[in-house]
Amino acid sequence: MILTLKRARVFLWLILVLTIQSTSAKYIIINRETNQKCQGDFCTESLTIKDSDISNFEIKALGNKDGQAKNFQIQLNKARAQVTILDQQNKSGFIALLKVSPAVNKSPSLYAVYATSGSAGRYYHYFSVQAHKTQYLGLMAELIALKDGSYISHESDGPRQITSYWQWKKNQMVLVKEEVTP
Amino acid sequence: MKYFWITLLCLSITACQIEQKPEEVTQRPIEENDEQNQNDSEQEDSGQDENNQGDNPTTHEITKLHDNITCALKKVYSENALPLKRTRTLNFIVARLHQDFKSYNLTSDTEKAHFLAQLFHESDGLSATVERVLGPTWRSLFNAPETTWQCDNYLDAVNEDDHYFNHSYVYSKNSYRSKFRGRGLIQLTGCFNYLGYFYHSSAQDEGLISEAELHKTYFPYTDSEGDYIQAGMFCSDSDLEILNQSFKDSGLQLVPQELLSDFETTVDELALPCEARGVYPFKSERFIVDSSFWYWKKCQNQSYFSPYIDQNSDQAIARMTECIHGKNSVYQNYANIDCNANNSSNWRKQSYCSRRKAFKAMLSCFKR
Repeated sequence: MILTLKRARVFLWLILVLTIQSTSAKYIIINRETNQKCQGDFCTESLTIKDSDISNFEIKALGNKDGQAKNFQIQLNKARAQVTILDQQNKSGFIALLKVSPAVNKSPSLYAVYATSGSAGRYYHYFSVQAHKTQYLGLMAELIALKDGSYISHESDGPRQITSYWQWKKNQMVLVKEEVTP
Repeated sequence: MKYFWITLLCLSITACQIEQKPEEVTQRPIEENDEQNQNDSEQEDSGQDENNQGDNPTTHEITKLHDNITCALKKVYSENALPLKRTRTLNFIVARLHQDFKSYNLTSDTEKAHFLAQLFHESDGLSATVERVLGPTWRSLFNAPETTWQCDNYLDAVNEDDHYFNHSYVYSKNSYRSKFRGRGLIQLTGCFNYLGYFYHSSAQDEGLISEAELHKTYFPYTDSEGDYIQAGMFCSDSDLEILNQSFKDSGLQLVPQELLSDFETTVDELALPCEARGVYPFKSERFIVDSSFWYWKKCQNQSYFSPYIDQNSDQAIARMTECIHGKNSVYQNYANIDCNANNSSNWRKQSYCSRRKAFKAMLSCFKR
């Protein structure tokens, strides 16, 4: 009986998921003007962001002033996070702030700083901005916003696919389900 | 010489039972049309008797490489005889693999073992050159008796899967779709990775050495809607046109040009593991094999990985796994992973252990 209920739940979940359509989410590079200042071993890159959600975005390279640092302190509005960037994006060490447009109004705007990529997929440090509240969400695989306000991410492992389903609940990105196939 | 091959064949049959010996490898000359191959071949053949072609060092090295990979795959997948899905691909790629070890500067057995171990895991033991769904057409291809892939049927199977990637699979239909699905031995996935490889191959063709050395996957551009974006998992045809212009600004272009008119059909053709396939002048074996070597540049170029390339240690295996698969704390805490334990609840631990097993098998087969 329990098994049957579980199967039914999985079936209903699949029906729900298969009927969801996504927006054509894209990662927009935020327009910015850079002003880099160095003092001692620390450099601060202050950016003027032309985006309605953001009043302040600052990246501080921790312990390295040549632009090659891997550890950064990122401030987005009032939220701060110390993050590690493994991959260099280009020769100058430029770090882009990317915006993932929300699929529906009730979802927050997501902002992403690229961290690393591999055959598994791409990974970003995510921040959410909603009603002037900004918070660091953590390092996650690339999120795709679906039309119902939920999110999906995907990782590959050789012949296996790992699909994760996320929901925005109580101001947090909550992992609802992870599927590994085959 | 004839007795040498007969003896080798007998030994192989004894060792491999019904396994298909690489007829193609021993019979197949290094490509006559490939300039780099010709140069390598000429250099290595210098001083050799013209009538003694079969005895040249390159042929011996390719045969030995084939045997070593066969040995490792048997250990990794616990197979007494390799199934055709592996031998067909191995026979097809081994000469290019041998050539690329030199041209991409993988010199030590340890680095080759790291590279191949990662490749085994990514390509499901060399069985896949295109991301696929295991439907009846694929199963029929696997079960066919031929010692080479039947690439017209292979292409049919690839096309049959398009619907799954475009409409059924909830992630891919919202992301890379069938157009940018995994292809090549490293299973290149997403527009940004394809652009990275074609940037590299174009730089090779144009003789721009420093550009060809890059593992570049960051391609910002202004799309047709006026947004400044970075190339992600999917690029439209108009995006590719715009990106081709930015390639041109660097003295490069998307080659073959058919990528611009019909990207998907072109890359499907480039991923076919058969002789004389590809889009002229781009042979499929170049795409299938070289794309994985381009990816390996990430491990060779970045100081986080490069010191470990020649190391035989669990830390080195974990670091190479991070290079290929992606940075993750599970791999950084490799010392806490017990590969003898049941790691079914953590797919990353399984992934590390699978790559570790492949590395150890490959290295022991190199050292036989």
